[in-house]
Formats: sequence, structure tokens, C-alpha cells
Amino acid sequence: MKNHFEILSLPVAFAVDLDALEKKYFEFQRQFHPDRASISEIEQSIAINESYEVLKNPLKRAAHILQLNGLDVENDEVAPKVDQATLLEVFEMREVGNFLAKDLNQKIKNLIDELARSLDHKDFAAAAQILIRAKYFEKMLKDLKANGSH
Amino acid sequence: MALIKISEPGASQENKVLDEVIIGIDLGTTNSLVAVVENQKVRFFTDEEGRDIIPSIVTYGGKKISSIKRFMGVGFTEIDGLRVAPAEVSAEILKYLKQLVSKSLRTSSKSLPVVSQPQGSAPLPLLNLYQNTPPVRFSQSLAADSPQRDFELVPNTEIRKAVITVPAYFDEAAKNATKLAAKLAGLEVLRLVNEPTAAALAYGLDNQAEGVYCVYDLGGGTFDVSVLKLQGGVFRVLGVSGDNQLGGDDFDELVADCLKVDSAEARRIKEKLSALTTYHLPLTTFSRAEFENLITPKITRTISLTQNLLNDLELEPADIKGIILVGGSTRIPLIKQKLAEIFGQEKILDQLDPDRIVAAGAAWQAYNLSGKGDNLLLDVVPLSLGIEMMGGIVDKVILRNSTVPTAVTKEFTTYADNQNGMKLHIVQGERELAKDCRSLAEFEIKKIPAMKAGLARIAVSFKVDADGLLTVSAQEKFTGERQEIVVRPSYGLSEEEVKKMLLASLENSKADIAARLLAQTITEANQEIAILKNDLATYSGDDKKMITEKLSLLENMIAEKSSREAILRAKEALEKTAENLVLQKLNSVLSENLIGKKI
Repeated sequence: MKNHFEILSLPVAFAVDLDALEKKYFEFQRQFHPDRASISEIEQSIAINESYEVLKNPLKRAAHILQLNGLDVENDEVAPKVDQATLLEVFEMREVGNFLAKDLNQKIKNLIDELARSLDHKDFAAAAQILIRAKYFEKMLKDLKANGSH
Repeated sequence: MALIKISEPGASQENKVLDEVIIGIDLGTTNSLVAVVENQKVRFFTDEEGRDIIPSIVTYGGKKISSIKRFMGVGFTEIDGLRVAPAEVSAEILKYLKQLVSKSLRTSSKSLPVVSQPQGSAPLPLLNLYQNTPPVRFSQSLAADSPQRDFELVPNTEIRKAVITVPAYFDEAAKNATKLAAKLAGLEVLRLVNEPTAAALAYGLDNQAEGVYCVYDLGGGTFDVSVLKLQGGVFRVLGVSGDNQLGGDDFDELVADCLKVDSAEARRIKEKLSALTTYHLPLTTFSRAEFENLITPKITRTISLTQNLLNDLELEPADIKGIILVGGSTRIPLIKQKLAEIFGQEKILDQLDPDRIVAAGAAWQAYNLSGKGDNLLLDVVPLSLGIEMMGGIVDKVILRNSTVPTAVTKEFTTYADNQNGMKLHIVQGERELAKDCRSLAEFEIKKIPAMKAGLARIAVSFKVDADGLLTVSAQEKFTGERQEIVVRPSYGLSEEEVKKMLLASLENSKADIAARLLAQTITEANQEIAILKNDLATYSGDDKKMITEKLSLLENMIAEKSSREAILRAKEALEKTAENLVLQKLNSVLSENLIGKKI
């Protein structure tokens, strides 16, 4: 199991200083990017890119921490199911259709704060539930943007 | 053939060490430049007429054709297992590349970094552009070519490596063609660099710039826009967008059509109108305002592509520290004006040389790759890469604007029972259906062991290297059967098609989603039909006839391409009718399992 924190030599923690993360990312790419490395293997550079991509995004980062703790929320077959209330809320929002990107952003932001608390308390089951909810709203935001730009 | 190293007898030890010069080439649509960095300064090579901006012209079918870039990736044929453009065209591009490099060297070599020349010895050319010609003979042929010319090559300098710039929006085919053309011309391409990225590198290094910058690159034939973050010697591309069929040449055409003049004259008029407000023709006048009217739709398109890119990256104009203008067409005042309306006048960096900045960036990247520079470029994939699924839907494996190098592995499975092969169709583009994307390659996984549909596990890996070139490999997990291909497109897509694809992707995403849903429904229905047909063969219930009827009804619906709703209804009706059959099958499977477990 790949540990993205290890790859960028950072402690496993949900709270990440994005500037520090970027610094680490650059530091490692400076060493392993094919433009810089004398070896022709690009695997390490690929891994560094992937780890940075995961760690800089709070939802992907949370999913990774859960994965490291044995909860795979990315795999639909084993992921916990979303709660009824969220399902109903999403359904109603879609039905009415008058929600704004900034409302969704705020919802996601609040959920990320909740996520941080659950992960701090190592309550992974609760964190997984919150993450699943956040992913629903993230999907809505994505759809909204896709439709809005045309 | 390995390059023969020649050293003079008695030459000092240092002279044996080749000073390798890596050049940067901006292979432009209309003009090309060759540059190198020496003593921390960019120097441009000039041809025998003293020009450093050399028109990109090839002769094909007796006609002089500019815009050689438009040949890249078009109409491939296979030679020695390598995909190349039709022989005549690629030969011309080769000739052009060779001339570009050799002419530049012939006339500019005096100021190349010279390793001290042994006294009294003749200059020793080590340039080897023709792979099968020993360097010395080649130099003689060059000399014979131009006996009177002040001809001198630098001793102990070999040039066979280059960094070449390509439009950020070049697809796999065009990138491969560029790399191959250079290779056949005897140049090892150390890196393909996207033009806007190169421009940002040159700007950043010249100005010690830090922050997020936007590069607006409107050349003769292509438009690219990139957003980069410059920080501590790292140049990271955040995203790119563009249109391969929009450039200054289109403006010439518009003017030529409007004024009934030839394109050279149109171009002159266009260029004059960047400084003048009125141009006087023999019979009439043509004002800048009239010109701007003609080109406004094109300019508007570039602006909206720029704004869409910022939206995608969740950036506001205020986040952008400066707009780097690249390409001769950015001299047009209307462009600066439109950009200033969004970003503010003070952010338009127009004191740069838009014709030379890309070549300068290529030279800097060459310098970095020679191990002398300390800067790092992190570039992205311009267009998503994916696989065609059952029903023609694209499953995107690598998303656009992913930083390279990158690799993603996805698992796919079989669709029918005992399916023993699987066709992988690899496509590039943003659209939902494979037929609307660029087809890159097809290959087949064979020898999948017989098993129920959905049980086989085929891991398909996409890997994109630092040049943005793709390799796909696939592995069947039970047998370990493995296949790999480097994606060299089997058929070229014309740039006209690329343009259509990009435009269509922006305009058709709603129709796309409907098409995707329909395709999905049909796939599901077909799957169900296959399962039921299989089960019916051994079924003898009273309702067998009814089920068969509903089944063929659904088959007809699919064959007639009925609406999604109609297919769904027919599918539901079938499911209802077949309830007993399914129940019976379920029971028998369950009891089989129980028997198997020997309870």
C-alpha cells in the first residue's frame, strides 16, 4: 500500500500546510524529475506527482488517510453508503435547481472542518460518512460548473 | 552511428573533451529560430542573410508551403516500424530542419563557446547531421556547397542534441511526428517543450519573476494559452488550453478576402495597421477599425478560451501577476486592449520580444538539460486520454492538465461469459463518446481465461513521459499475460478535425450526456438480453414464449435506435415477465453452491 505522506516525507496528518507541501513537492521533483535525474527511470517522478495531487486536495487527502486505516471509500463496492438525509437533501436541491456554487462550496468547507475533527479523534467510521457526504456535494458542484460554462 | 570524436594529434587533454552544445529550436508555424545559451545569455543563430527569424517554408508538389507545423501528425505511413508522415512531406520537413541547423551554425559558429583551438591546425568540424556520413565528409560537402563563404565550424563542439518547442495543444500524433522528423535529421530531441511554457521560462529567468502568470500565445497558425506558477526556479504549468486552427494567418485571409488582395499584401496591411490607424490603398482606404471588425470574432474566441481556463483552475484575473504576450499576432492593439479589459493595463507585459521569446525559452531549457542550469519545468497533459468502453463511452484514464510524468492504472473486465479477448481503443479528447474524440491506437488483449462475465481483471496502465508521450500496457491478472504499446497514432487527424473536436466539446456537452446515457442504457439492455438468452436455452416454464416475445421486442427497440425512455420501458417489461425465470435460476445457483460446500 502506497503511503503518499511517506513519499513526500511528511507526517500522516489531515492538517497540511499547503505551502510546506508544495515546497516538499518541488524539493523532491528537483531530485527525481527526468529533466534532473541521471537515471532514465521516471517511476519516482510519477509517484511524487501523484502524491502531491492527492495530498493537496482535502477530500482526496482524507480518503487516503481512511484508506491507510483500512477504510476504502473510493471503491464503491466496499464504501459505506451515504445517509438518507444527505440523499434527500441532494435530491431536493437537484429537483429545485436553484442552488449556487458558493452555497455548495460553503457546504463542502463545513464538511471538511467536520472531517478534520473526526480524523483528529481517530473516529474513522464517522469521517468516512462525512467524506461520502462531501463527495456528493463536490459532484454537484462539478456538474454545476460543467453546465454553467456552456 | 556513434559520432566520431576527432582530436588533433598533440592537442592538449582538454581538447579531447567535447563541449556538447544543446540547441533550442522554436519550430514555428510561419518562422523558426535556433538559439543557445552561453555565458548566461541567449544568443540567436542567423542564416547567411543575417536573419535570425527564418521562414518555415518547405516545397511540396512544386509549391512552396509555409506553416510546416500543419504537416505534423497528418497522414501517417509506416517505415521501419516507425510512423512517419508521407515520405515526400517528411523529407521536406527534414531538409528544412537540416538547413535550419546547418545554416545557423555555418554563419554563427564563430561566437559559439569555443574550446581553444590547437594552434596552426585547420578548424575541425564535428557537426554530424547526416547519421551515415562521417563528420569530415559532411563538412567537405558543406564547404563545397559554398566555397566562398566564410565558413568555419567550432572545433570540439558537437551539435546533435536539441530541445524543440511545440504548441501546447499539439496532440500525440503531432508531437511524435515532430520528434521523429528531428531524429531523422540527426538531432536527438532531449525534450519537447510546450511553447507557452518556454516563453514563461525565458520571461521568468530574465526578470526573476515569481507568482502566477498567464501566457497568451497567438502565432501564425495556432493559439495557446497557459497559466504557470513561477516559484524558486520551478516553473509549474497549472493548465493549458488553445485552438490549433486559429492564428495570424487567418487574419491575413480575412483581409485578403475583404480587400481582394493577395495574402502577402494582406499581411503587410495587417502589420501596418498595428501602428497606423489608416492604410491607403490605390483606390480606397482601410482603417484599423475596419480591420478590428473583421477579426473580432476570432479575438473574442481567444479571450473566452483564456477566461474558461482561469475558471477551470479556479483563478480570478486578480490572481494573475502578468500576461506574457507571445507570437507576432499579439502586436495587434485590439488584443492588448481586450486583455487589458480583463486583467488591467499594467499587467500586459508587451515590452517582450514576442517573436524570439519561445526560442529563448527553448535555449534555456536546453541549458538546464545540459546540467548547467538549475531550473525545473513541470508541464501538463493538454488533452485527456482514455479508453473506449462498451457502448462507445469514453472512460478517461488520465485527465487533462495532469502534471507529467504521470501514470494511472485502471481495471477493466469482460462483458460476456467466456469472453477470451478484449479490444482496447485509446482515444484523446474531452468528449463523452469515443467517436467524437481523437483515435490514437487500438490493440487487443488475448488469451483471457474462460470465466463468467465481469470476473476477469484486466489492469490497463497509461503512462505519459516528460515529453507528454503516451505508453499503454495491459495485463490480465490471472494469467499474467502482458501487452504494451507505445502510442503512435495509426491515422493522422487533420488540424481541422482537432479544431472541430475542441469546438464541439465546448458546445455539445449537453447532447453528449444524453448520448452517453442512451449508450449506457443500450449496453445494460444488451447485457440483460445476453444473460436471459443463455438462461432461456435451458428453461422450460410456461412463460418461455412470453419472455421470448418481450426479449425480441427489446432487441427491436435497440436495433431501431429508439429513445432511451422507450428502451427502458421495454427492458422493465422484460424484467417483469422474466421474474419467474430469474427466481428459478437463482434458486438453482444457490443450491449448487450449497451442494458445493458440502454442508
